[in-house]
Amino acid sequence: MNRLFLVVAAALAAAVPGCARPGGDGAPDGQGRPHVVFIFKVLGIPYADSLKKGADRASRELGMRAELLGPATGNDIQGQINLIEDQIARKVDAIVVSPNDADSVRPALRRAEREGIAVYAWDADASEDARRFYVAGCDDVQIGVDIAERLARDLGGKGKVAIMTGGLTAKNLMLHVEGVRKGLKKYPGITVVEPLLANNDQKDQAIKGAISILQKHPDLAGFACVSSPGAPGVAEALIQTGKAGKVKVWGLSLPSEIREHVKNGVVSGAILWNPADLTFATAYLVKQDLEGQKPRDGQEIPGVGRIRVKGTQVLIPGVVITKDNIDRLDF
Amino acid sequence: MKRTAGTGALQSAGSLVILAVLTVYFSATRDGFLDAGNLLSLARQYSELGLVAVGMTLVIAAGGIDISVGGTVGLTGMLLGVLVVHNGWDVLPAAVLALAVAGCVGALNGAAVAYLGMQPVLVTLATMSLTRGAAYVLTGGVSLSGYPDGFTDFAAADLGGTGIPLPAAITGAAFVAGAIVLRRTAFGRAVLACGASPEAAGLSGIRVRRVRFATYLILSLLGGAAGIMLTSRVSTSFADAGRNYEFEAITAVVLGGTSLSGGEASVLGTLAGVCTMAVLRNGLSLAGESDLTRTQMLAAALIAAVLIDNLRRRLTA
Repeated sequence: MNRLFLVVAAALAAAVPGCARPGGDGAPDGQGRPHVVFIFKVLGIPYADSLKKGADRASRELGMRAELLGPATGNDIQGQINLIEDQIARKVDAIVVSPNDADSVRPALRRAEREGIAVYAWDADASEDARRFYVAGCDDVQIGVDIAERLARDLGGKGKVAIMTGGLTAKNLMLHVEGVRKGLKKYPGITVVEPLLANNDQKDQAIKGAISILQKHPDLAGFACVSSPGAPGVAEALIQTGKAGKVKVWGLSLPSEIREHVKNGVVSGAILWNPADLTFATAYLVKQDLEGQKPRDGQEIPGVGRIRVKGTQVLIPGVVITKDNIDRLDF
Repeated sequence: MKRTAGTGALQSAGSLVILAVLTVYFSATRDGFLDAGNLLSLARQYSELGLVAVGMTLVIAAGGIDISVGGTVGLTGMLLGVLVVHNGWDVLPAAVLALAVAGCVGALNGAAVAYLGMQPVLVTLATMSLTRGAAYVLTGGVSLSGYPDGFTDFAAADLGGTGIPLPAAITGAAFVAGAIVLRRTAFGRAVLACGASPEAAGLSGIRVRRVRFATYLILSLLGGAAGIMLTSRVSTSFADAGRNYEFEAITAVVLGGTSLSGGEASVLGTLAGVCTMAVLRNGLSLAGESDLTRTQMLAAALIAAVLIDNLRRRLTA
């Protein structure tokens, strides 16, 4: 029995290296289209589904092969690193990443550039020396300030507020939180309760976190959420605890995931951008960059609008979502 | 029920066949699979899990189980980070201390299971929460980077220019050592005897409690080493390191022919199991399949492996 094992093992060991071809096949694929892989933080949430629509649109309209990949579970730092290394092995033309943790993926991203793959960041930034440019739907800090402002106005400038983020290490989220704190500081009547809630980009964790903070602070007046599953999760928690409408919520979520809550007054509103547009715009700029042209300030991207460029950061237009316009927004 | 110690080879051959089939399939259908660079990169990626799988083979062979090792991987890496990045320690003494802490976790597991007679799943469930929680508490979830280049170069290095990644070589050596220990040493035979029948083992003079304790200690030490290696590879300490390693290690062990009830084990079978999982993930990834598919396929593989294990034991009883 052991001998059978050894024989099969030896055969395998001999056969595989014999067939391995150094160098492998590179993308672009047979039709010469650039192969661009977007690696998001997690799959299976509405925001990611919306991002994918942008990638699909890019594949159809820009003559490229755009894919959206990501780990299956929230805040999976190791999963993202493995995915990046996989793309290096697949020899894709470009990798665009929204890192769960910018520091952890930096070595893998830099290796990708060394191997001739163009690296960019979108949605959340990577280290500046690891990507060519970063495309966002907002100024990461300013959006936090804006959310804070609107929540504060809803609360009449006083009350206890809880802040909820996604993963604790994603750069964009950390900056959003910084913005929220900065924005709330202007209102001496508002206190921010600790701890900072983290939902790891998963709605069920958002619900749990919200319920637990409501138990700890029964007089909580408002929630500021900076990760997309936050507002819908908090809304569910408020409905479950009978506080819907009494506690104010401002978030950073898709209109489609908070539509009913906004119409029923459970969530006051959100500030966002169209994730599909964000991905499409990034794909557009990546293709342009692969052809040797950098993003230009004020450049018009079909179907998205004018972008602003500051150094290596690109901004696409965002939108404030409230009861008044939510039905006109289809993402 | 009669069980012969150490003859999981039939199942091991089975896992090799699965591996061969998958390899042939992916080579034929995925561009870039059989690329030397791809396979070596894959080996590097699975080095840490491989180390843990070796240790897990021993624990399961002796009749136990450990679901806390993933937490130990994370804790070791974070501890290393706190010492080196926050407190300016040199890497080597910090690694030794971190490894010692990993050893303490293993000793805790081993003592509770072997000497206090507690259920392994319950004990290691508790230590899993303890270690993972401690990893998060150390920095509040914030990752640490800023290691000296020498340390991060370690995991990126090749073995003397052969192109074989250093971490993979280390794990390979661990597998060889594990296989030799299990088959050819008194300790290894004792491990299998404890798993097959603790009463008989005890009656024949084996110190069952000491042997079981040792397996938990070894696994946690290997987990600590994996934590250090992983930290070097990504040049960052992050609290979530090693997440799911216990699930994946157990899957690899069972895929490789080791019986979950102990007494029959094959370290080389575990190696085949790890390779199978690596090949599966890579094959799916090269086609752009999402991680969700892989998780489902792995779960299916684990269920299949456990069913085969059950069936085989019933047929040979």
